[in-house]
Amino acid sequence: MGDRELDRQLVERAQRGDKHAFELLVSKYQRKLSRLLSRFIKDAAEVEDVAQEAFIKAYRALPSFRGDSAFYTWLYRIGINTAKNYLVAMGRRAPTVTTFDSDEAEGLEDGDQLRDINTPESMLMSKQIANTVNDAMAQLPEELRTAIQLREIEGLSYEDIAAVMECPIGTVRSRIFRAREAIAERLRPLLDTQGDKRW
Amino acid sequence: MRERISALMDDEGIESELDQDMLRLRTDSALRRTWDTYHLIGDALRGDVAPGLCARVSERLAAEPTVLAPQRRKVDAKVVQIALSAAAGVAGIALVGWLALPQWQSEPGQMASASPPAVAAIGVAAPASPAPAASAVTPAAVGVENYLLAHQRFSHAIAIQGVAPYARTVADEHEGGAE
Repeated sequence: MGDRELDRQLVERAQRGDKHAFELLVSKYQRKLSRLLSRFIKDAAEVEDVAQEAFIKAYRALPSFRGDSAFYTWLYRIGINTAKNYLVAMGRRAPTVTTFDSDEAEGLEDGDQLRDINTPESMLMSKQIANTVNDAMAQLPEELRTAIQLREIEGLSYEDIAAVMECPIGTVRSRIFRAREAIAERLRPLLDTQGDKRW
Repeated sequence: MRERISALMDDEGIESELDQDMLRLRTDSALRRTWDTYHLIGDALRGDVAPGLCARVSERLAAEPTVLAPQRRKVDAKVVQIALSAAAGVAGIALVGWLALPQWQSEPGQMASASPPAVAAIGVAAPASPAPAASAVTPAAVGVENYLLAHQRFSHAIAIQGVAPYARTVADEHEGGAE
C-alpha cells in the first residue's frame, strides 16, 4: 500500500458504517490534532475537548469527504474551524490561519460540557511515558534505534530506510517492529495502571 | 500478527491482507491496544505525549447515528490508462492523416500543372506564327522550366520530389565508382 492508502481505506470503511475504522483514525491522529489545536488554545483540557468535538464533526461530515485531499488535511481544516468557533463562543480571539468555511460555522453546542481533565496525575503520566520511551530508545540496539527513528521522526518509507541502512525491506520491517515491541514492553506496566483510560 | 499491524500503521501493509487485519483489530482487544500503544510510541518520539482521546471519542461515536455515505463508482485506473492511451493513439493517427491527406491529393495535380504551362505556352504561341514561334517558344519553355527547377526546393512536395535527383546521383556515382 502506498502513502495515505491506509487512511483512504479506513475512511471508506467508516463511510460504509464501520465506526471502528473511524476510531482507528482517531487513535492515529488524536495527538497530532491536539498539538495543532494547542497553537491556538492554551489550556490542555480545552484542547482535548475541541479535538474531541472536531473528531465528532469529522465523523458527521464523512459523507461529504470525497478523498480529494488527504484525510488529515481535511481533519486539520475541521479542527481549525472548530477551534475558531470555540474561541469566538468564548469571546476570545480566533485563529486567522485558514479561511473561514461557512459550513463549519456551527457554534460549539456542548461547550458547557467542557471539564478540566488536565489533572496533575495526567501530567505526571505524560512525563513518565516520555521518560520511559526515551529510556527504552537509549537501550535499543543501534540498528533498531536507527530504523524506528528514521520511520517515526524522519517519516521515511521502508524502501528509503532500506536504502539508508543498506538492508532488505523485510529487515527494516522486522527492525521497526522489534523496536516498537521493546518500547511497548517497557510501557505496558505503566499503561496497565491506567485502567480504562487509553493513552 | 503484531508485526503486520506495525507495518500496517506505517502504510506498508499488504493490501490483500487488509480485510483480515481490520477484522482482527476489531475483534481482538489486545491487538487494538497494540495499535494504540504503537501510535503512542510514535507520538512520544515526536514529542507529543498527551492523554488519548479515543475512549471519550468512542463514547460519543457510540451515540452518533451511523454514517452511511453513498458509494462512489470506482473507476479502474488501469482501464482509464488504456482508454486514454487509445484515445491519444487515434488522435495522433487522425492528426497525421489530416496533415498528409491534402498533400497526397494535390501532388498529382501539382505534377501535372508544373509542366503544362510550358506546353500551353507552346500550344498558344504555335498557331499565331509557326516559324517565329519555334524560336519564341523555346526560350519561354526553357525559362519556365528553369524557374520551376530553381524554385523546386520551395515546393511543399519537395520531400518526395527531392529524393529522385539524389537517388539518380548516387546511382551514377556508384556506377562511376564501379567502373
